Amino acid sequence: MRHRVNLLFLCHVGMVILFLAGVPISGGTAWAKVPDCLSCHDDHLFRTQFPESVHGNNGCTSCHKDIRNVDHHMTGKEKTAPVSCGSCHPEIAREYRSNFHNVELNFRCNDCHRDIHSFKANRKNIKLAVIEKCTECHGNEEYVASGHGEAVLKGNQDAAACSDCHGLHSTQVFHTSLEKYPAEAREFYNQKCKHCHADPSLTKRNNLSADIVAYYEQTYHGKVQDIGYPTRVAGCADCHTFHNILPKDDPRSSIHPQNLVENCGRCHTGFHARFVDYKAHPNYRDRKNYPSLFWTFVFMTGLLVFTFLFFWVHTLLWWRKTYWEKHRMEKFGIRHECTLSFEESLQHVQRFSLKERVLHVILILSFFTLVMTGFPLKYHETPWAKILISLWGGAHQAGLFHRGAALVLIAIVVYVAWHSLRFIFPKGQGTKGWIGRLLGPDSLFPNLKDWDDMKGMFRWFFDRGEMPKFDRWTYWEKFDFFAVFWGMFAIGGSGILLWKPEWSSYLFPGWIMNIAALVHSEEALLAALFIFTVHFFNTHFIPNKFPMDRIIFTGTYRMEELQVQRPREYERLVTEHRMESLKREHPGIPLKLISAAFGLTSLLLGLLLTMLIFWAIFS
Amino acid sequence: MRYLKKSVNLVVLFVMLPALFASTLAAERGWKTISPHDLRQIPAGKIPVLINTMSHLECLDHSIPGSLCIPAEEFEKNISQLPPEKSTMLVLYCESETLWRSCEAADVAVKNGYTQVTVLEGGLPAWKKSGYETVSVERIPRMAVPSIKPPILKQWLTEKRDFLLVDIRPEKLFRQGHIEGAVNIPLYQLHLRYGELPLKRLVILVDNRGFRTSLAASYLIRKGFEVRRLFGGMAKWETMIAREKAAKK
Repeated sequence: MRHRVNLLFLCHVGMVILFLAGVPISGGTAWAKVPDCLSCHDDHLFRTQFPESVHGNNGCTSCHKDIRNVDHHMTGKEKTAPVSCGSCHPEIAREYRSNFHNVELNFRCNDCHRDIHSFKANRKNIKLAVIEKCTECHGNEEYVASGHGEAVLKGNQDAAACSDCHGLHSTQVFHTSLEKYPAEAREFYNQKCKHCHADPSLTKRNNLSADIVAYYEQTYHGKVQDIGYPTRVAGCADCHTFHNILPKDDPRSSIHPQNLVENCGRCHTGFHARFVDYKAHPNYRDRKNYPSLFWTFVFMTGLLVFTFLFFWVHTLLWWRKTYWEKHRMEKFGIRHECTLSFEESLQHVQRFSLKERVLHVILILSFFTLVMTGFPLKYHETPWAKILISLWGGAHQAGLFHRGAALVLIAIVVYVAWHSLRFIFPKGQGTKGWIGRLLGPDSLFPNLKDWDDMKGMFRWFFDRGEMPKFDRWTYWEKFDFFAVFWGMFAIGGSGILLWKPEWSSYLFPGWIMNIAALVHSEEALLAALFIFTVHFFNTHFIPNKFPMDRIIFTGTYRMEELQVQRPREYERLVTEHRMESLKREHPGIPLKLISAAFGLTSLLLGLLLTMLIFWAIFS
Repeated sequence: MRYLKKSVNLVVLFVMLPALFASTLAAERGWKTISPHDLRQIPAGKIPVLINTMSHLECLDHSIPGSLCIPAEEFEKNISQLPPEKSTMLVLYCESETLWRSCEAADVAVKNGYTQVTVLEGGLPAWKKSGYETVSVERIPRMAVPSIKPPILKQWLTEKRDFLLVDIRPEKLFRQGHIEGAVNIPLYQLHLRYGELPLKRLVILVDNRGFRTSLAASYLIRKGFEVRRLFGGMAKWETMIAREKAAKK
């Protein structure tokens, strides 16, 4: 059978509503003025109910147009044109164009508004009317029994009805299936939940926490969600479910303690039951409910404040002293006293071995990778975070790079630790003389001289003494060295726990993951800012080295620099007749160029990241 | 996220890929694709033959103006309904992003020698989203059809309640797997075979994703049947079964 659909057939389709046709109204005729329609269509519906409906001020021909000849219409030769509700409701028509019920199911206005001729606006409880309408088809026992449903039924106009989450005339095509558009759906519904649960006045009226969304966004779930990669992390509905959302003290609730293992198990596998002690909405400023988190926060904040207060003051005073000193020397043409001959002063001496230099380059690369993959999550709300994470190919890819770089860093630290032990306990000597080596001038372990040097530096800052005569390692270099070990304990330890939290739950309860996340995040801030400000200044930006010191890449410096910067070491090397063995050729142009390019790039990148971090902190 | 991963994989395999690579398929199979916008731009005198490859009920309910109704499942049998001139431009469309029906029908048209065979990208949903017109010849007014979710259906099956499961998917999909006890009356045959259904038993309709049962149920209700729909169709049912299996492991 051949079915050719012809436009002419349209004229024979009565009461078909074409929403998008956009036919303009040709002047509504008042109901009272068109009694002719009622002479045939004299049902109770049209005669009595329609005038009392919301459309009662319209005449029949306001909607049912194109009756040119009543006789033809009465004999069935002429039908009315399709009704265009969009003529009067253009915004609804626009929304409905992409509505799931239109796109996939071909529902038209009167399929839901079947009572259009007697329709009355329910202004008292619109939400209840919406629920009644939707549940004609979507019989949702779960919703009706939920906290939202119960509240709406009791008259609470703040509680979510169907249309608050799914839209009324803009119902999205993914609304029935999270599986179909996982990212879009999760993002869409999260925003719906947040719309109400982050509304201060609404939450206050309903005795809810106004910050519950903010607390969620401080967790890994919330951060990855917020930065735009919701596919692999739990959104609101993943834990609270879609329709049977109930308070956690209700045994039917998905977040009731008895149901948490099953609830978390929908995404996580292979965890101990204590895994569910993880707090999904922690408030680390709440001492009463989250004491361990609170005190960790206090400790980490104190650590950051103290460290930066000390070192930034130290740096500022150092810069002041050096700048003033340099100015004075330039002004009066003063040169450093140099007891070396011209040839000797130019002679290069090794400070860092090839192995140490290579390690530092790898350390730089892994550190930058960690910062650039981790900080976008830490400051997920900033615009730069979204750009940076997209450069890595998304949060998941960034996570893989983060873990790879972490492994490299851990390997470096383990190697250096082993190397340090070998320095203290060299082969063939055992423990003999280990304390001497540990506290000796070539050791990076702090000793009393460091304390004296530090005091001496502060005296020098205030023009109350000479600059201390340093040996091979200064006290700030030793701090840098040990900071990495402390950092590895704090960041590395917490990072390993967070790497596979399901496995970690066999060692620790879930709330330890909250602490680990906080420590990881705050310690990362400490490490990054310390390196990009204090370390960069001490090593590169101090006026007599600005813009950078290439020694960590070239490995050598002039004997004159050694004598000025580390006079004690120079004296020891001369006294112990070790200088000859440390003399090296002047580094070649390729090495100097590569060192400058890599070093300056690293410095500029570090400064850029510092600016981004400060932007995030102060915005 | 393991269920999600599985589901995402399913989406990629069964939904997204055919849509994404429709043009690749087209090149391999000898037909082309056309966007709703490009189709709309074709001047009035050169409008190609439009063919709705959904069921008769759906085609008469809503189509692009001027369309022929030839269900994909009967395309080979009804090939004579096409114009005899093999160089006639044909535009085939269906109602799913997978374009499964229109692609199948396009293959048949190419096999039968038609040289200008085209599939509408995104099908009728994309056409409607673009704001273009559709027409109805015999519209089935939609009824309020209660739906039941897979867990409820499973419970009813366990309780051996008195109802008849009617699977309206094509025979091929039905043979690949269906809910135990279901009978198959494909939607393209429903207007011919609805008389086989019992009037005194509750009928529960099952389809792929729950999108087509609404129209079918409305049609049957007007014929006097008591009908419900499986919410989410076989896709939701299979997801539930997969979850249960995973939970047991």
